[in-house]
Amino acid sequence: MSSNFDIHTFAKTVAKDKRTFEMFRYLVNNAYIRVVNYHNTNERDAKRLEHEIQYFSEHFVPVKLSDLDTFFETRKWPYDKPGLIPAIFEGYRSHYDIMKPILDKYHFTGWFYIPGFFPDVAREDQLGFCKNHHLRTTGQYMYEDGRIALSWEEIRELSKNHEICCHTGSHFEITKKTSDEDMHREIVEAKRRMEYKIQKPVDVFCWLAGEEYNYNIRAHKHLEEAGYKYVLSNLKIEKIR
Amino acid sequence: MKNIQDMFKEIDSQGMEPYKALMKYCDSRVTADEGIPAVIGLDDLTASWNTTYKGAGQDEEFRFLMAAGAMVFASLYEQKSAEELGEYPGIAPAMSAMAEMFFHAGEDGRIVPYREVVKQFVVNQDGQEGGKPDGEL
Repeated sequence: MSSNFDIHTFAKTVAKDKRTFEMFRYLVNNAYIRVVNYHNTNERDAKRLEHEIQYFSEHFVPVKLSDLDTFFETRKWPYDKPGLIPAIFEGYRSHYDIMKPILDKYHFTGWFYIPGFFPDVAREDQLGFCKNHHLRTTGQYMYEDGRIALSWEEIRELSKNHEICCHTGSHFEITKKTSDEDMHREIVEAKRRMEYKIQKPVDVFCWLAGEEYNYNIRAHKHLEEAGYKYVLSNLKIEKIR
Repeated sequence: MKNIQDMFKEIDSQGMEPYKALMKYCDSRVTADEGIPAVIGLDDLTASWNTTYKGAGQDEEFRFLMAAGAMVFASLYEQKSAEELGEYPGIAPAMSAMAEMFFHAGEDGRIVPYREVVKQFVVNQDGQEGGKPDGEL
């Protein structure tokens, strides 16, 4: 190696965390997917958003949950083009008004990660809810009526062509110290609430702060009780049943 | 077909500056409002740990470049202090930086970085749209 690249430092730093080698293995073993993460999808960014989604539609295939099922069943990606998931976080109203029409125009599938209790918050309390639950909304300028969250009707519409996933109940960071009561509410009750309102299964759970399934053994019984098929962290999607 | 060693050699020949410049660019992104690319693993916890998969034809060779690039970025991020890294391991920002630099293989075989997708919307340090950080591959 040249002087630019110190192999000893490289080996030492890469070996600091087992997740680094894990990611290397996923990449070499074809077990990965591209994602582009979105939070706010505001009107002022609509041109950029459309440009991105159009580009994705030309160079990648959209990914449905059923494509992941097929991939794991057959152990083969079913398309020549790689898949890409636009991952749209937090359940903001602008996702319906701005992002959905763009995704639908280019026949691309979005995965919407929604805190399951957010749509039930009274509109006058939603901005406060955002501030208290680490939801960095920048789109409130768009709506004079104060509603920031998606409504259940909008989520039902989204679910017709897109994937609806549970991002806890109240955008809650589940840690090893979280009580069973809180875990049950944020993992199990949030899923049940979403499924009741959209009348469809919600098969994907997404942690906050990028935890992985193995991180929190105490959460397993709640994920199993809820019946999720997939758990998403910021490093991987794990099939758990 | 190129293998992973070939990819590390290619990366080494370029030196570390493009990687460091791209990390700076990643720090400047507005994550609340911009699309942030990443690559994440797919893991079947109900299957044997050594299950092998076949990927998209277009990524047949490119995945090795992504794997090598991710390791280089991880090594650079892991050299940052715990304060700089925050709650995440170095591999987390590394997977996003890697996706920025090696977004996909173009039809002509060249590497397409994510900034090429959004180039007219990227604002450089002078506030001009279309800017590219120094050291872009």
